Parts: sequence; C-alpha cells; structure tokens
Amino acid sequence: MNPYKTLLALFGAPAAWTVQMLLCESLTSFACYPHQAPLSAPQWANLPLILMIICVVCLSFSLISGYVAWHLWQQAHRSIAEAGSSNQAIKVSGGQSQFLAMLGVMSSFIFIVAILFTSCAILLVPLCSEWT
Amino acid sequence: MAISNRTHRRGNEHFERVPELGRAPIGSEEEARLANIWKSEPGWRGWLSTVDHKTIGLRYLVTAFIFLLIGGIEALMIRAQLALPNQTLLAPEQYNQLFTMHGITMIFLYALPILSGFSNYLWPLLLGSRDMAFPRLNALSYWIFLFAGIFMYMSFPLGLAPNAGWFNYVPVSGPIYNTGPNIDVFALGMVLLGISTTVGSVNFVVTLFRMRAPGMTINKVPILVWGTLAASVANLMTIPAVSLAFFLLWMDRQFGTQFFDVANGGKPLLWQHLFWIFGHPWVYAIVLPAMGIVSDALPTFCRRPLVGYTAVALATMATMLIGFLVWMHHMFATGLPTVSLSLFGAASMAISIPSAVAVFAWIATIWTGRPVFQTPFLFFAGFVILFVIGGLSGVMVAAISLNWQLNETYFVVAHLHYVLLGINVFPVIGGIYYWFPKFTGRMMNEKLGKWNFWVMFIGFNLGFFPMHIAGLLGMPRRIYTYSSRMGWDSVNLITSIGSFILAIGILLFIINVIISLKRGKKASSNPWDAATLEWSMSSPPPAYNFAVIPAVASRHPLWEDRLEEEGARRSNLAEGYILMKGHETLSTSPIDARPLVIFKMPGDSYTPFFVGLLVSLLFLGLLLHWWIFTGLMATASCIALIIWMWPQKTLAQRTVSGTAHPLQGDS
Repeated sequence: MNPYKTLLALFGAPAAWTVQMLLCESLTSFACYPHQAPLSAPQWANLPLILMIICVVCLSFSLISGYVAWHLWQQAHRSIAEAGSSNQAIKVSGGQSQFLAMLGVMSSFIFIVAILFTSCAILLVPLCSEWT
Repeated sequence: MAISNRTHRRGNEHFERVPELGRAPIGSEEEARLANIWKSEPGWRGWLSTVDHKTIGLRYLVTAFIFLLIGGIEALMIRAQLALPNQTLLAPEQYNQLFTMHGITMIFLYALPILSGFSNYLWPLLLGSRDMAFPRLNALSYWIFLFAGIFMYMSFPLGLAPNAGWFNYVPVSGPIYNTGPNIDVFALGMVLLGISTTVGSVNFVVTLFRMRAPGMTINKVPILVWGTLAASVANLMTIPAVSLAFFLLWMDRQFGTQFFDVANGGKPLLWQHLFWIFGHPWVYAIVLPAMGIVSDALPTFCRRPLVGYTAVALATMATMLIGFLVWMHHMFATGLPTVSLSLFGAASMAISIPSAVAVFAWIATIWTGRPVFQTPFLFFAGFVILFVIGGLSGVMVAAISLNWQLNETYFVVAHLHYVLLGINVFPVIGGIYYWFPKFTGRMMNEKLGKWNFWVMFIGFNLGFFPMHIAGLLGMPRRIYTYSSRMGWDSVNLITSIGSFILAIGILLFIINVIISLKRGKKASSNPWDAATLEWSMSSPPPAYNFAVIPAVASRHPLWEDRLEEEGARRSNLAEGYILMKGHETLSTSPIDARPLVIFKMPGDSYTPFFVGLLVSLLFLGLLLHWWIFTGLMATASCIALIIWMWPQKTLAQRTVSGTAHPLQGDS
C-alpha cells in the first residue's frame, strides 16, 4: 500500500476541516472585530466570496481524500478476493492494509460531514450580525 | 514472514545480533535468569530507583486515588454548606478555595493521572513488551506528578490556596484582584505538572509505535491503547498553550508584564483562548482512555469481541481531532462574532457522531453477547448510561441560544460531572475490579462489589441529576450560599444527600480493596477468561513480564481457539525470542510490527527521582523569589540530567537479523 496515499486517506479530510475552521474563524473574526469595537459589516467587501472559496476548496480536498480512501479499500478488498479467502489474505498482510483503508474511508466520511456542518454555519449565518 | 532490517548501516555489524528463539517455562533456568536480571533492589533503594512500569503504574493509581479522596472530601464540605439555605459552615473565601481546589484536584491531579496509572501498568502487558520505551522518563513523569500535587497543596493549610476556580479567569486571578500567593502556587504548579504530562505522553506515543510484539499489526492493538494514544497526542499539542498561559500570568503577577491587563492593552480573552485550547482537549484526554478501558474489558463479560473495533478505534481518534477545534464553546458568552459561535457550535455538535459510534458499539456488544453480571460489568454498563445522559446534555449546551441561558448555572455543573465523573470514575472503579487480580494476585469481593456499584450509581444520580434542575431554575454555580426564597432548597438538599451516598459507595470500594488485599481469593492467571495478552501471565506478573517475546496473530490471542477459523495462524505465547543479555526487549516497526532492533533498556536509577525533586525545588525557588536557590537548583538539575543521559556503550541497540517470525501455523 502506497504510504502517501494512505496518509492522504487517513488525514486528508481532517486536515481540510482544520484548515477550513482556522481560516474561516480567523478571517471572520478579524473582519467583524478588527480593533476595540465590533463592526456591523465585514471590513472586506468580498469576504463572503473568500469564505465560499475556502469551503469549496476544503470540501473538494476532503472528497479527493475520501476517493483515495475508497480506492485503497477496494484495492485491499480485491487482494482478499484474489487470495481466495479473507483469512488467507490476512495471513499474508496481517490485515493492517484493510484496516488502514477502512479507517481512511470512515475518517473521510466523518470529516466531510464536519466540513458540510461548518460550511452551513458560514453560509447561513449573516456575517457580523447580532445573534437573534 | 521475513524480517525487515531497516536500521542496518554499514559499519554497524558488531551491533547486529540474531536473537535466539526458544521457551522459558516457569521454573526453568532461563526464567530464573530473567527474574534475576529484571528484579529491583529491595528496600528504600529499590523504592526510590525502580523504573518498573508496573510499580510506577500502581504508584500512579494509588496517588491519584488519594487525590480523588481529598477532592471528594472537599466536595462533601461544599455540599454540606449548600445543603440548606443561608448556611454559614464556610466563609466565602474558604468556599472559593474549596471549590477551586476541588476542581484542580479532580481534573488535574486525579482524572488523567489515574488513567496514566492504568496505561503505565497495562501497556507493556497488552502490547507484549517487557517495559515502556523510556522507563526512566516514566519514573520521572511519576515523581514530578507527585511533587506537583504536593506543590499545589502547599499553601492550602495556610488558607492561601488557589481561589479563582479551576479555569482561573483573569482579571479575577490577576495581580489587582488577587494579591496573595494563591494564584502563583497554581500557575507554577501547572507548569510543573505540564512537564510530567508531556514526558509521560512522549513515552506512550513511542511505546505504541515501537514496542509491540511481533505480529501485533496496527489493527490489533487494544482500544485502551488507542484511547491513551489520542490523549497523549492531545497533551503534546495543547500543554504548551496552558503552560504558556500560566507562565504569562505569573509574569503579569510578579514582574508587571501586562499580557492580560486590559487597562494597559492586554487581552483577558487571550487567557480564555489559551486555557481552553488546552482545556477542552484535556476533557477528552481524561475520558478517551477510560472509554478504552470499557471497550477492552466489557467484551470479556459479554463473551464476545467488541462490535465494530475499527469504528471504535476511529471514533476515538476522531473525537480527539474534533476536540481540538471546539474550545470556543466555553466562550460563547464572551461577545465573540456570530460566525465564530456558529462554527464552534457546529463542530461541538459534530463531535456527537464519533461519540455515538462508540456508544452503539458498546450497546451492540452487550446486545449480541451473553452478559455475565459481575461487578466490573455493572460499572461498565452503568458508565454507558451516564455517558448517554452526559452526552445529551453536552449536545444541548452546544446549541448557542440554550448555552447563553444555561451559562454559569448548575446545569453546566451537572453536565460536567456526568461527563467527567460518569465517564471517568465508573470505568476506573470497574477497571480496578477487573484488573485487581492482575495487580495483586487476589480477587475482590463480588458481593461487596455489587453493593458498591448500586450505592455509587444511586448516589451519583441522586447527587448530580437534580443539578440540571437547579440550573434550569437559575441557580448560578460557585455561590457559597443562597436565600430560601429562591426555590432551590429541595434540589440542593437532594443533591447533598446524593453526594454523601456516593461517598459511602467510594468508602465501600476502599473497604473492599482492603479486605480483598488481605483475604481475597487467590487469582489464577486468567480469572475472567479474558482475551488479551496480560491474562496470559501469572497474577501478579513477573518482573520481566514475558519470559519470551510473544508473537501475536489476532486481537484476542487467548480466545483464538474458539473464534478463529481452522487453519488460521495462532499467536505463539510459549515460544519466541529469548532476550536475556541484560534488560532487553524487542522493538518492532510502527505499522507492521516486524522485529527491527533489540532495545537495551536502562536499569533502575536514582536520577529520575533527583531530577524530579530538583526541578520541583527550582519551582519552589521561583515561588518564593529565592533567586540564588533557583539558580542552584537549575544547575543541579542539569548535572543530574547529564548523569542520566551519559552515553553507555552497553545500551546501544542491536539490529535484529536473520530469524523467522514464530507464529503458530506458519509453514
């Protein structure tokens, strides 16, 4: 199993979510509250567009990571089929490839959901508004 | 299976060695030799110098449990004060110090250290190793934890204990509003404790990736190991933030810096960010290993493996990962921008997904198994119920609007006690019932154990559930008394009665431990018919753990005969690598667990004790402004570290080469 693909499958989506959270949080906070007093509108007019681009890029990256994870899992699954039985395949590899691929699939799924949650929060809540 | 030789370098041939394969049954010459190599010196010399992970693990357990008792007594005093309105058992300042020390003790000196105790004792046994990766670092971690605990309690008898709550918000903890040494003790104590936690975490991470038995690929490690790994990674990432926060606060207080002083351009919110960047992952650090205890021990009493091992392993890591980015939900009421609130509210709700995965896995394990209702099972099943209640109130306070309503009320106190006490104390007590035979060679009393569980469970719910109602009725946390006209009398009285019943439950546990230590039934090597490696050796285990390094073929090496298909490879626990040229164990590759090198482990040493003592004295010097003394202690610590680290040729690791992997069923 390619170690770079495995790392991407395992950590790609979590990394994308982390980047999305940190960038969006920092940008919106600074745009709405740059100094001692809060503003009623972000100090950069194109902030919503920037945030949307960040969300799309992070979501795309996490989907790629999910695709790679899915591909690795299928690859591991095929190796089981080719070996005749799962027991025999596990005998050869110890089962770690299947395990890591499955972890990648699940990790990507959870963090794609997290990215969607975060995107909803960014896109649905008016920037710099009062909480009503 | 061939052995890879990744550490081979030209010119290192004389450090190559072919480890011999063989058997070392109890009573054999080899076994006697191993016992002699690994035994600690008797008497006080051995007591101060031992680096045996089992001894260190038990010390952690006992010390942390003593802190639990101290924190519990503080809680009882608080509940006695609040049982009735307008009570005057405690003065406001005494109350402030008591609830602060209660929080500090339970969260920092009990909750994580007790789990470190389990992990220190169990990891090498679960992983098939003879010790942790860094035995001396392990000893240092314990000594500094002990000294940091004593340090933080130093000012308590003088009536000068920390008094601004366990999260110690500025400006109330700053130099203007808090002029005594109370907060300085807390600040320096936390930096000192951070050293202990950091070195302990490094040890766990390296141990997982380098000290597993051959064949124990990454998909075969117990969930407790995943839980402790997640906690350790979290600690390594976040402790610098809190250590920095406390150091800056100490500088503000002692040298007039203005990091948190709003009148001079400082930022009080900086404290909250730095504290909660650490504080929230810490909450997960003190529950994930406890969840691991349940995930590993519950299947024993359900007579089947854990349902959804992969999903639970991932859920453990995902909870931790998401846990890094939810810290701002502790700050929803601070006037942060709306989008920040939404982002962190969404993340806080997302964390319920992996948590729910673990809950469903435990329920499915019980549902599809054949439960045996012994005491540990009761504690683990009780934990699942408390986890669900605590989790649900967590999702409720993740909703921003409700959070604002409930902020700083007893609802939050109820939530955090369900989460921290329910998810930590119940698995811990259940875990002690479960592993007590391994720790001591004796079984705990089952009848008393069941009484212990029911009294604790009833006391816990009677004590903490009404706090939700008190919160909904608007009772703020941290008030030292209240008027009878507020309508909080009944819930507070019930809470206080419940907390005393819970204390009786803990007392029953202590009585059971004392009775069982003296008169408990002798335990066999595997009294619960469990599946994992630690039950393959005598109870208590020998000093060397494994006479031969085992070869592991599955997640449940002791259940393979009943679970594995015919013809599948079997773990080999009787025959394996015999390493007995000094303190030796095998190091394997991080994912595949292929043998790589023979680690020459350091023997017992006084240096961890002295480094811990000298560093602690250095902090005492800082607290008392004894600058010359501080300088001397810093120099002495460096000298002790140099003695510790002095290179020894005998400790150079040996590259493994040219042997086969001794699993049963290989052909």
